[in-house]
Amino acid sequence: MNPLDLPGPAFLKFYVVFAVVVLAVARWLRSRLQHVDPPRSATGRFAEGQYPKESEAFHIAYLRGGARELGHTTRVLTATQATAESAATLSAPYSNQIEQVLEREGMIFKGASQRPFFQLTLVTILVLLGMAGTKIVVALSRGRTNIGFLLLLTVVFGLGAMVLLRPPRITGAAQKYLAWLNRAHDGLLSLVNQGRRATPGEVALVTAIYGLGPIMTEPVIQLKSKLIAEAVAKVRASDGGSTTMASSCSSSSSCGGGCGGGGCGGCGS
Amino acid sequence: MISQAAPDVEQGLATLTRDLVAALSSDLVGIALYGGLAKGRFTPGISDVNVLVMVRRVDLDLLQRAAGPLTAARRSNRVVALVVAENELQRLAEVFPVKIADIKAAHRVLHGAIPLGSVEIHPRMLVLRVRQQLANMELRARNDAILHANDPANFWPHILQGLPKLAVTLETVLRVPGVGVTPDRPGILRRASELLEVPELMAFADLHRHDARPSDDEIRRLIAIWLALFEKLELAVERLLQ
Repeated sequence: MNPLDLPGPAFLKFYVVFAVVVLAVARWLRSRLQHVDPPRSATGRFAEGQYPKESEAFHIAYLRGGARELGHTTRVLTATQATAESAATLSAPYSNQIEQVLEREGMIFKGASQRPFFQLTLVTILVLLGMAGTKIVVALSRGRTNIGFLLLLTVVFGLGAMVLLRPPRITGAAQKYLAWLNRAHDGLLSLVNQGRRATPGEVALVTAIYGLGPIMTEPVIQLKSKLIAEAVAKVRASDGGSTTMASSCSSSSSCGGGCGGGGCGGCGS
Repeated sequence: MISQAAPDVEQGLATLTRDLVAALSSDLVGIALYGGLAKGRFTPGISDVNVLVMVRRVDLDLLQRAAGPLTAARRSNRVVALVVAENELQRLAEVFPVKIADIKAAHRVLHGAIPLGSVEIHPRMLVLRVRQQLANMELRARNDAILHANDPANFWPHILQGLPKLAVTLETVLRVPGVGVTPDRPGILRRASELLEVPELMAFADLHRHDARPSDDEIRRLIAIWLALFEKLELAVERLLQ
């Protein structure tokens, strides 16, 4: 039976199942694409079995969690170097330099290497649109105009495709490398946590690999408290800001809903 | 003390041995395991894995070749390596008599040969070094007592961390007159307490890292004993080994 001949409600049910299947297949293809590593001018420095240098802590942090983790690792290094007797020898490169290295080593998707994912998203959306569009044409040709739900579903699934199929940040090789790093640095993590013979570079490396969570050295504990305090202050500032806005806005009937994110400077005028 | 994690460590040691043999080839004389794991006193995740790597000569080229395998072993299994040339063991025995005596008494050869039998430990050097270690622990304990004067709970980890080193030092002392020692730390401390006639040592014999922290009053009592302990031990060691 031709699904395009189904009556409206039945076609909507069919379309939901169709779209879910299309999205599931596309998502599976996306994960396959993630593991087809982009061509790399690889030196093999970020590969399973290659123990990283301390200076590569920044690349690992960025790979694991982007700018946020890079920031944490840099702050741990700074805090640890401040308390260590050894001279500071490491400093974090800029994130765009890190990205260039990681892209060259086939660790992240960027630029041209993201194209297959965009193509997959485009094809998926075209398939979803194609089915919905054909049905709309058929319906209109038969004098039916109740196409609102179908349009809505098409938009929802189209947006779903864009979210589900967005290019991943890191490649399959990077995922494997990070998993290996995690397994291969147990000993260093326990050395660092016991404060035994660990250099600032090693503490930074462990932070890059495991994050701040499992690290229990004094400078890192202090940093964690500081980060929590900063986050709380940020939330309070935004709460305080909106409270101030609300109160000052409510004092002026002319303000109404006009106090957007830019503040209420203009309410009194 | 040895747990299920030990097979992983053994696997790591096998890998280290293979990689060092490949990296150093004929420059490698032998590899030996010593310390807690060699004595059957090993807590995974807490104890270091101590390895003696003996080579024909030590120079930058050799150290660079050894760096890869040793870094991997350190990061994965917290292997701490002591790299020595075959002709310098005797010299090291003079400046680090406790360490070399400890290695000599309990080690397991993983590869090649380690000529520890011919190394002599001078008893006088040993006594001096033991006294230095005990005095060092005493001075550190005083500093810690000042640092944590208002918070005895923070002193507690210092006592627990000092116990393994104290046990190794006293174990070495007991071996000199040929006293048999059990491999476990409580046994060593009890035996040392009896033989050195320092009953205060018994207060620490049964303390373990995983024990719950005692009350502040109890910690203060232990700190007081700990601070007075080292001088007594120093005198007792001098008496025993003179």
